[in-house]
Amino acid sequence: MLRLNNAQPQPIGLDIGHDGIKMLQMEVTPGNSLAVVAAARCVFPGEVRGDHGLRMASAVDLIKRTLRQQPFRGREVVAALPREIVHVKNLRLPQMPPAEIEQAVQFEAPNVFPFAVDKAKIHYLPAGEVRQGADVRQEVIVFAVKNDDVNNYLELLHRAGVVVRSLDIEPCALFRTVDRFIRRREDEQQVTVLVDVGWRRSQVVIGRGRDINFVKPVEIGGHQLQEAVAKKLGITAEEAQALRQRLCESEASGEETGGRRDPVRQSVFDATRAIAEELGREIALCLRYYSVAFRGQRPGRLRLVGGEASNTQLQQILNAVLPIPAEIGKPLCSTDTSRMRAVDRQGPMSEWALALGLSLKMAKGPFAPRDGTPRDRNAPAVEVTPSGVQVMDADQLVRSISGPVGNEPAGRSVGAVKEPVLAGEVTNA
Amino acid sequence: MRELEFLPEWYPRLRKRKRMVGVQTWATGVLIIGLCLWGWLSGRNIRSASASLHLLQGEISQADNELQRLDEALGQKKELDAKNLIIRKLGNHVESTRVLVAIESAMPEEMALLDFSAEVKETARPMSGLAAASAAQNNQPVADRRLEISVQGVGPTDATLARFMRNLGESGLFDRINLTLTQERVDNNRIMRQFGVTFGVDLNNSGSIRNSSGGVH
Repeated sequence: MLRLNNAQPQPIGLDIGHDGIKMLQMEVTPGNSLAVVAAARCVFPGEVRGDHGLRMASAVDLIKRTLRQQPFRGREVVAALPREIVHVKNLRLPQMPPAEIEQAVQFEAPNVFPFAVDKAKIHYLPAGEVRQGADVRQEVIVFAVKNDDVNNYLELLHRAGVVVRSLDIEPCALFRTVDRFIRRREDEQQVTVLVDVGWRRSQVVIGRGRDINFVKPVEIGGHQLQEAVAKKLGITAEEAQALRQRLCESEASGEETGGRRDPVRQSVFDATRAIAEELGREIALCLRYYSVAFRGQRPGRLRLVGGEASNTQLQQILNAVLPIPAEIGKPLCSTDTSRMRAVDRQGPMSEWALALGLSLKMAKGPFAPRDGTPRDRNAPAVEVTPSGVQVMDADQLVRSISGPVGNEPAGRSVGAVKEPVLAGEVTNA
Repeated sequence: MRELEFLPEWYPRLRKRKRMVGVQTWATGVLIIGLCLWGWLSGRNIRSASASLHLLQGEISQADNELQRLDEALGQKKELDAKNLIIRKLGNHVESTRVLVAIESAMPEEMALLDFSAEVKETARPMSGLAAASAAQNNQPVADRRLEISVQGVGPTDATLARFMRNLGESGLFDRINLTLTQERVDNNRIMRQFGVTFGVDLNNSGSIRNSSGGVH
């Protein structure tokens, strides 16, 4: 859209989660930086969160209401397909020209997906070269979505009164928050680990430079943390949610307890510790697999994004479990957020990562940071040992690697891993 | 990063078709509104033109009537002109009785008339050749016509005679009043003044006679 001030508004990034919806619209300013046009966050009522149909019906109403009330420009949205309908498989193919990969993926798809792929949409991401024994193979991440599921989702969005500009998948949208801000040549070799901790589940996205190398969903989310707190303290889920939120806000505002240990905080910490550690172990497996399978730089840090990312207790536990430091991602730190509501601008705003990535799908970038991009110049750059892992699921991939997880020394190096053991279903393309 | 697109191919086509339908709907609406507006304006113009035409027809009818009346008036004028020409050729007819009434009204009571004579005299009007031709073309008279009147009477004194001549002049009907005779006359041992007066009436311009005497028809 051509405007007189040359600012280019982007489509609305629509993030329909399990706990609510987030809508974020960005615009590219004449200085090639980003500014928020409008942002809105609505939470589902507690009784509809557990039911998919009720949740979607509520989402339709919330989207309609939000579009009416908030100053969004246009009704074009970029939405992410729900994780439940996106099937992900990893394929290891022989080395071949990029033009032939598409044919190979289409050829192999009927063998790896449990449904008729002629009635599904198949796309792939080239993950990179992996060593398998003495061979070098090409790993691709294949995404498949049934046409019926896409049509149903489109119909839902259509009922909400929006015009769908594009349908994306969450890993790509999340990684776009990194991809669109890469400006320097050395950043194109930097490994980024994004962990999106959502309400129902989480997912790990690892990429180097502009390319995604690894995607893995983890069935642990804020919902389990909330249930654990409710069970431990004998309160309802809503009370547990309110308690966790209050604790997060008090920690974010830096409230002091006078050196005493807050028993409530400690109880919540104890209740969520086991689940958070389980999440940490899953992430550590992902890191281990990445380090073993892919050559090049190793990840230097991990960024937590998503609705549960601002939980400092979770961050503490992950820092204790993981070999690399976990930090809370700030996806909007390089954008002008002055038009957002004050209540939405509090904290690191890591919950907006998916919506930001969706909103930037039509923008090319790279975008200039508002006040400079902080970079870690001391990120480790050690070659990892090549491996011969043959795993088709991300879950199977990471579980095929045995070794100590979560108990690395303070140096937190994942370079010295044991030779991975082949496990799980093997599909050689 | 390689961008993946899961939007079905039919959706952009559907949107495009929807936009086209919307544009066509708008265009059709605009066209219909334009046609309606054009029809309404045309109807209004037709009604306005019809009203103007009706008005013009009325004016034409009225002009025809006036023209007819004008033709009739022109016909009458032509007839009157013909009559006028005849009259001008013949001269105005002045009835002798009216002349006598006018003379009688100018006479004092003690005066009496002894003789009265009236004759019409025509005198050729001196004109150049061009003026004469123009006058002949316009049917204008080329001669002056006058009614010459000569009276003789008796009165007791010269003052009576003078009053009679003054009354003749003041009547405005007669001109060229001249005394031609005055002498004493004895009748039955009474001494009177006998006189003779001539005067005339211009028959080329006899409107004064018509006005003063009720007109000559």
